[in-house]
Amino acid sequence: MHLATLRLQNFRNYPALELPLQPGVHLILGRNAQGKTNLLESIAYLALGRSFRVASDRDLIRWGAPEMRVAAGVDGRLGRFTLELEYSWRPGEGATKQARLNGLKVERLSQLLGNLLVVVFTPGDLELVKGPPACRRRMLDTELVQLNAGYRSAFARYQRALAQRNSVLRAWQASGSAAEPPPLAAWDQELAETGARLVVGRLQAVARLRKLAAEAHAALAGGSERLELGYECSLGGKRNCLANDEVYLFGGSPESPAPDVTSLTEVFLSELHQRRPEERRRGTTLVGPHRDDLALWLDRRDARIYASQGQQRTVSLALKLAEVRYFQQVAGEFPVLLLDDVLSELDEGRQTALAQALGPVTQVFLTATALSPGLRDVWPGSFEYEVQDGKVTRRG
Amino acid sequence: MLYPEPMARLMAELGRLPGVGPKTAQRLAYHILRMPREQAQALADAIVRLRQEIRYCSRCFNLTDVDPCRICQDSSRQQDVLCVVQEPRDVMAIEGTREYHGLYHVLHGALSPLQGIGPENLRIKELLSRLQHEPIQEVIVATNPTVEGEATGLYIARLVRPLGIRTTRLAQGLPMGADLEYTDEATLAQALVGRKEIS
Repeated sequence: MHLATLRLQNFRNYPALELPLQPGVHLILGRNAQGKTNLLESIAYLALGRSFRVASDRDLIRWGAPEMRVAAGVDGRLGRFTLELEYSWRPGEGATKQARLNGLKVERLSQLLGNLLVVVFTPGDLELVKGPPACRRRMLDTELVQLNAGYRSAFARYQRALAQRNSVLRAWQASGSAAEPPPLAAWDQELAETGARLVVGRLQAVARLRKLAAEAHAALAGGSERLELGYECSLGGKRNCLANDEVYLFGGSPESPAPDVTSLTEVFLSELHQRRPEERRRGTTLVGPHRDDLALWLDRRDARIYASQGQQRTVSLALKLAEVRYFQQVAGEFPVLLLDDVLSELDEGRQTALAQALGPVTQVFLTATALSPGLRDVWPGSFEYEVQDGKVTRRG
Repeated sequence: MLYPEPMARLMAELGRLPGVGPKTAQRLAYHILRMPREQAQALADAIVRLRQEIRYCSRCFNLTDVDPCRICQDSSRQQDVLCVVQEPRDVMAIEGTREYHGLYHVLHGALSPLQGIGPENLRIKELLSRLQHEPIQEVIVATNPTVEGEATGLYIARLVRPLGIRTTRLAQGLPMGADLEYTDEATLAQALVGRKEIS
C-alpha cells in the first residue's frame, strides 16, 4: 500500500502542508530541527493512533494552536481510502480526539488501527537487541495490534485487567492480612482469558518471524552467523520457551502449532494460583505476557547479552526487515516503511544490503541530514524532498 | 466581563454538569433568562421534585417514587428469577424488551479497585440477603461486557453458585439488524463461538 496524499494542519512545526505522494522511495532531507521526523511521525500517528515519540498528544499541536489535524489518502489492496485524525485541547474544555475513516466518524479510536499499516524504524530501535524486554514486547505488540483485530481488543482488555488486579494486590500487600481479598479470583479469570489470547497471538507471530528474520539476517551478514528467534513465556518457567530444538513449548515441539486459548487460560490460572504468596508479598502480578520476552540468539549464544555493536545493528535491521515481510504475508500487501535517521547508523555495506532488501517494498520514507555522495547510487530512482522550517519542497 | 450575581451563579451551577463547558453554560443561562417565566419555573420545580421524590427501592435498589418500587410490588411478575444489572438505566433497557418478567437487583456500579470500588461499595451484601430470604431459582448476570463488568459478574457468580442457585449470563453476539462487516472482530469471534443450529 502507499500514501497518495498527506495533509497536515498545525501538526508539530507544520502550519499547513499538502503533499501529493506516489509509490517509491522518498528521501526526506534537511538540517536538524526542520521537521523531517515530524513528517514520519504524522504518518505513524494515523496508523497507530498515537505518537511513537511522545506519550501526550498535546505535544503534537503546533505551539499556540488549539487543535491539529492529520489526514491521508491511501491506495491499498482493496482500493483508495482516507484516514483523518483530529485532536484539540482548549483550557477549561479539555481534550477531544476524533478519527474519521472515509469521511465517517469512528466510534472508537481502535477502529482506526489496521487500515494504514506501517513499520517504523528509528535509531532507538538499535536498542531492540540489548534493551529491556519491554522494547521487544512493544515491537511484537505494535505489529499484532495492526494486523489482528482480536489481538487489538484482547490487548486493551489485558492492560485494563492487569492494572485493576495490581491494584487489588497492592491493597492486599498493604493490609498485612493473610486472607485473600475475595474479588481477586474474578480478576484472575479476566486476566488469564485475555492474556492467553496475547500469548497465542505472539507465539504465532514469532513462529513466522523466526524464518523471515533468519533469512534477512543471512542476507545482511553474508551468512556467517545464524540468527534464531524464540519466545520466553513467563508461564510455566523456562521449559515453556519457543526456542532451540531441545526446548519444548507447552508439551509440543517448536514446529508444532501454538497451544490454544482454552488450555493456555488454564495454565495461566494455575500459575497465578501457585504464585499467590509471592504476589501478595510483592504486591504485583508476576506472570503473564507483560513479563515475557522475545529471545534472540546468534549461533546459539544469547544476543541480548553477548552481541557486539555491529551485531546488534545487523540483528535489529534483520528484525525490521522480517517485520516488513511478515506484514506482507499476513496482510497481502507491503506496509508503508518509515526509516527515521537510520542511515547515519549504518555503514555503506549495510546500507546497500538494506536498499536491496527493500527493493520490492511499495513505499518507503527515509530521513537523512545530508545527501551523502553514495546515497543516490544506493537508492536509485528515489524522490528527493527538502524540509526547511515546516515547508517541504520536491527537488529535481 | 462581570456578570450580575444570579447569572454568574446559574452559569457556575450549569458548568458542573457533565459535557457542559463554560461556553455552553453561558448559552444555556441566556436561554433560561429568555424563557417564559412559567417554563423556567417548571424546570426549577422538576429539579427540586426529582431530588425530593426519587429514591432507591429498599428491595432492588432501582430508582423509584414509591417503596418498594412498582416492579417489586407487581405480583404478576415471576418471583423466582432475578436479573442483576449495574445501573438503573440497564433496568429500563431490559424492560424495554418486554421479554423479561422476573425481578431485578441493581448493583450501582462495577468492581474497580483502581477507583477504590470494592464489593462493599456495591449492593452485593443486599443481593446475598435477598437470595436467602426470597425463593430465587435463577440469577441472570447482566453486567456490562467491559473488563470491570465481566469481573463483577464472575465475582457474583462465585458467590451465588455455592447457594445451589442456577447462575446464567447474557449471551454475547451480533446486534440485530446490523451488518456483519461493521461488527468488531471481538464480537464476531464471540458470536462464532456461541453459534446455533438453524432449526
